[in-house]
Amino acid sequence: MFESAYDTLRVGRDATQEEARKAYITLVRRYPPEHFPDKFASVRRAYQCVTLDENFIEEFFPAIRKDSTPIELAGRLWGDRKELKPEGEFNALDFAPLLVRETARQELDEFLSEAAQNIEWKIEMMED
Amino acid sequence: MGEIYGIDLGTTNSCISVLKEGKPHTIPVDGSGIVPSVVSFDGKEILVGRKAWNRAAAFPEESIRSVKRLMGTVEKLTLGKNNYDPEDISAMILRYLCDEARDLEGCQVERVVITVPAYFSDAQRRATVEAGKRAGLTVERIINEPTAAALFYDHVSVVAEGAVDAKENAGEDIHALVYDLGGGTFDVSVLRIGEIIEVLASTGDTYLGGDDFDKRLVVRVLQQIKDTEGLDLTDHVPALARLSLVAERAKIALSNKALVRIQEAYIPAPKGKSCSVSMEFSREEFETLTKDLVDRTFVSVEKAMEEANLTPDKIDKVLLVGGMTRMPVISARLEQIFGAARLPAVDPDLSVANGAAIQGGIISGENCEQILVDVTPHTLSLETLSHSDDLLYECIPIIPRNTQIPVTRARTFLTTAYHQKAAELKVYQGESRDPKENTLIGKTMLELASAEAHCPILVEYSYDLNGMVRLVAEQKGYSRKTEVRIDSRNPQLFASQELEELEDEEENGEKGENRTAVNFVTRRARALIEKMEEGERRQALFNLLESYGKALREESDDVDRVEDQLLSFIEE
Repeated sequence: MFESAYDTLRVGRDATQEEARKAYITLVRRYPPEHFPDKFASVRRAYQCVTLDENFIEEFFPAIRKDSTPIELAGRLWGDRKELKPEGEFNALDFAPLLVRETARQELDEFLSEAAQNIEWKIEMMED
Repeated sequence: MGEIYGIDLGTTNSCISVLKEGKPHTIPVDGSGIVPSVVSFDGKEILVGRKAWNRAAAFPEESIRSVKRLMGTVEKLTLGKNNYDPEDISAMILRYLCDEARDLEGCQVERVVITVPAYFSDAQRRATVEAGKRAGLTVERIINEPTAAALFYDHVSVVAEGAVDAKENAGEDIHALVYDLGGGTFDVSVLRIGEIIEVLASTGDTYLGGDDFDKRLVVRVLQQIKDTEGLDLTDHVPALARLSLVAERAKIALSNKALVRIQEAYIPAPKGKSCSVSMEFSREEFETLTKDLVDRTFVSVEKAMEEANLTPDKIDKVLLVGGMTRMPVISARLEQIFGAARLPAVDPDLSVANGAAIQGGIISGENCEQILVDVTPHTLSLETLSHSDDLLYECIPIIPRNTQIPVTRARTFLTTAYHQKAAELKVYQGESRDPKENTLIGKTMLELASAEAHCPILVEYSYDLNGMVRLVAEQKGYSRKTEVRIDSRNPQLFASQELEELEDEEENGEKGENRTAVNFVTRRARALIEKMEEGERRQALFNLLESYGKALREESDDVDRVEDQLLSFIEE
């Protein structure tokens, strides 16, 4: 069964940043990287995902690189010659709309709508 | 299972520590515990430590100092009639430390944690592990020096209440910056210390340290000799070796005094001659001579803060590590940026080894309280063809720097040609997009099944707690797979026979991982049982522990569930 980042972090979908951090610390104390490397890695991942960590965005939405132009972004997001995201990795997008909050959401939306104008990209994926 | 010792294998000095009743304790090898990282050959036997250091002054050509700077290279060193790898020399220092520790402590040293500068590359880390192996030791972990220092600081501030910050008392996280200027390397790390210890950013310079400061002084003394005696000793090795010791002494004296007199007779000169020098040298002059070196460290300090998204006022503590931080201008400049109150007194020489001993305790399960999350200091990338017409190569990052470890990351790349026979996978370490500016740490060939152009290839990198890299590449849909552990000292050499070896190790590794997890859980539970008063809760915990043990013995599927229950219980 597919486990969402919220499930892994054991928080609700409306969790605040502070709640997420608290949950993260509790879980890292429970599963220190020293003794539970795999569990730690997934907890860390979930935390980055829920808090929309910069690195996480960079990785899953390479489009959101501050110095790129929308057309580059579109290319990067969809079938750049050298890097194409495997289907599996788009899992994050399934729940991304729920994560995208406040400024980050706005930023993402702006980028994506601009990108979408330049390339026929199915943006439904991003809708709830 | 013996204790795990912590070793600070420094450029100038080394140090060995171990946990005793939960507290790190430096073993007084050579008296003070600070052992010069010098090896000398007196015609009969190899001397290490203080004895070698004393001898090095008179016989520099028969002694080796600062071998750490050569780690990860293939340079050969001559000692007596034999040639040695840098790893061999480091192994002699490690062996000496462990033998002395054994004699002083009365128990065999087998398992160790060795520290390295955070900014050490993959090759340098591997060379350090190899040195440990050649010394007959089991290297349980390679950890970063600034991280070790922070572990020790956190340990001290938790234990000694006096040192606790108001913010820490309130249960808030504090931010600490570790400024580590050693004999040969410079590191700066920014950490968040609270319930867990997280490294936020780590940067530095592996070729900047006390030795460079000494060299500036040597150049100045050489100039003086040229002026007074008319001799140019710039290329005369015995003279340089002697003068570097003189310079080191003068530099140390200048940390306490404003003026030193450098007086040295019988400095070897070519054709069996000798000369002498006598001059006065002021602290101010020394600071001018080395200003650019100090400036370079502060560029890294700013970079580290920027990467951690912090401003100087958000840094609550600045920890000084390494003998070079005794230079007054360094603490003065740090005080200027951060304020004097943020510089707590920590021992610049011993805290790294003590931190390594604490890490040893974390590994053995003796220390369950401190939890450490470290990061990658360098970006790991894969070389790709960014423009097939112009044959332009570009490094695409797979694991960006300052990513928490352990970590596994994958990215998909595409083949360029129809029926492409193979894909060359080159792993680079470094921040640039241009492969020429990065370091190649390994490469391998993935043989491909015949397919259309733009066939996806999944490339996965793993970075373990020791900072070692592994690569798995797979042609999607064709089950062509290759898996290599990178040996950056020998990037040409990966072969399939290594794979079997790798798999064997892997199996052991997996079992090992389970074992340490179980060890960790049971130790925590037992410690709690001891503390708890007789009663229902205690009995409940006891029962849980029992059923955990039972589940483990029977290897049933319940293990994870019971483990979770047990951990939840402990947290409550």
